[in-house]
Amino acid sequence: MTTPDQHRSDKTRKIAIASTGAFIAALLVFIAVILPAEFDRDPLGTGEWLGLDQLNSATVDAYQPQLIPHKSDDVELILEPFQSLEYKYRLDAGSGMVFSWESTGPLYVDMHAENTGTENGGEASFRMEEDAESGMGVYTAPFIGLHGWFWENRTLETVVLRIKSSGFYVDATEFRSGGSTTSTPEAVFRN
Amino acid sequence: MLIQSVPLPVKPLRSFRLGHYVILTFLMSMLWVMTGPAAAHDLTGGDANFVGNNSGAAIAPFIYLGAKHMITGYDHILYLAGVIFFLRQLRQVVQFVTLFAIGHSLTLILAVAANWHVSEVLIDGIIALSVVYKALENMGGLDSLGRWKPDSRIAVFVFGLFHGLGLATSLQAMSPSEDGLFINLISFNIGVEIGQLLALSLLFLLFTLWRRQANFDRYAFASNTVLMCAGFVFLLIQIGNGLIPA
Repeated sequence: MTTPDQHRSDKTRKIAIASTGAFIAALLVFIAVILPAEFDRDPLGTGEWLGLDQLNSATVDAYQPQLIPHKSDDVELILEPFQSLEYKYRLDAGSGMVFSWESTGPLYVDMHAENTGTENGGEASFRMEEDAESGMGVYTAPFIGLHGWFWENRTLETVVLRIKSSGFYVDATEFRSGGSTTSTPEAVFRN
Repeated sequence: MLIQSVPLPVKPLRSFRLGHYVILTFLMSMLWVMTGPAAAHDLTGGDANFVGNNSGAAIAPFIYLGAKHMITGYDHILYLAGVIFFLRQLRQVVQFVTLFAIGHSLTLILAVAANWHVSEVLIDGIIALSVVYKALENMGGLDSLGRWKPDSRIAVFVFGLFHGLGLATSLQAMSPSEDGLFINLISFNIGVEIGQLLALSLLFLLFTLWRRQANFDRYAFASNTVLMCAGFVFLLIQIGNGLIPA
C-alpha cells in the first residue's frame, strides 16, 4: 500500500511525464505538419511526403483568390506649385492592385505603405524619385494598412496628376495639409 | 487525495432521452450555421471590408461579428472547455464563466476604446499558455503548490483579461472607424457573450452526458493531456508567427 508521500510523488511523476509527452507531441505536430503547411519550411521532409508543400508552391502563389470586391479608381489630382499630397489605398495583407499614373509635369514621388495592424505600425518604402512623370506597377500589400504615394510638386507650374488603378482595396484616402478625404472607388460589378 | 471510485452523484445515463437529442441537434446546427461560412472564408476578408468601410453605428453586424469571433476562436473555446471540465454544477459554471466574461469584456472595451495596440503574437501566445495552464490544473499538476496554488477563480479572471486583449486585437486589425466606435464595440462585446453562451451550452451538455458514463474518470486525465498538447501547438504557432519571417 502506497504511503501518502509515495502516492504524491507517483502522481507528480505521472503529471510530469504526461506534460512532457504533450509538449513533445505538440513539437512533432508543429515541425512535421504546421511548419510545411503554414510557414513554408520543411526541415524533416514531411511536408513533401504528406503533400503539404503544395500549399506553398509557386503555382499556388500564381493565383490568389481575393475576398474584397474588385474596385476601379480613376482620379485627377491637382498640385499647385510647391503643393504636396498623399494618396493611399486601404488594403488587407495579401490584397493586390494594378496601377498607373501620369502627370503633366515632374513630381517628387515616394511610394510607401504604413502598417495599421500592429502596435508599432511599421512602414515600407518602395520607390523614391525626384523627377517622375509616370509610374505603373503591380502591387501586393505585405501587411494590412494604407498603401500609396506621396507626391510633391517642386516646380513653379501647376501639375495635374492622373491615377488609374484597379484592385482589391477597401477605400482610398487623399491627404493634404488641410486634412484628408476618404472615398470609395466604384466596384467593378455593382450588385 | 487518493483517487478512488466515487459513487456518481447522478444515476448513470443508460439511454439518451429524446430531449437530449433535440437540444444537441439544435445546438450543433446553430454552431454549424455560424462556423460553416466562417470556415470557408478568411475571417478578415469580407468582415474587414465591412468594418473598414463602415462608419457609424451598426449594431446587428457587430453583434454577429462578435459571436462569430468567439465561436471560431478555438483557443477561447478550448480554454472554456478546460475551465468547465470538472464543474459538475451549473451554478459553478455560471460563476467561473461570469468571471471570465467580466475579465475579457474589461480588456476588450478598454483596449479598443483607448486605441491601445498590443502585440497580437504575444497575446495569442499567452492565451495558448492559458490553455496549457488550465489543462495542468485539471490534471492536478498544481496541487503540490499547496497554499501557493493560485485560486482557480482568480486565474480564470486574469486569463479572461488576456483573452479580451486577444479579441481586441482581432477587432482592431479590421480598422473600425472612430465614428460609432463605442456602440459598435459594445455590440461586438454582446456578440462575444452570445457566441460564448452558444459554445458553452454545447460544451456543458456534452460534458454532462460524458460525466455520466463510467469511463469519465479514466479518460479525464488523458483528455486533459490532449488539451495541454493543443495548447502547446497553439503556443508553437505563435512563436512561429513571431520568429519566422514570412
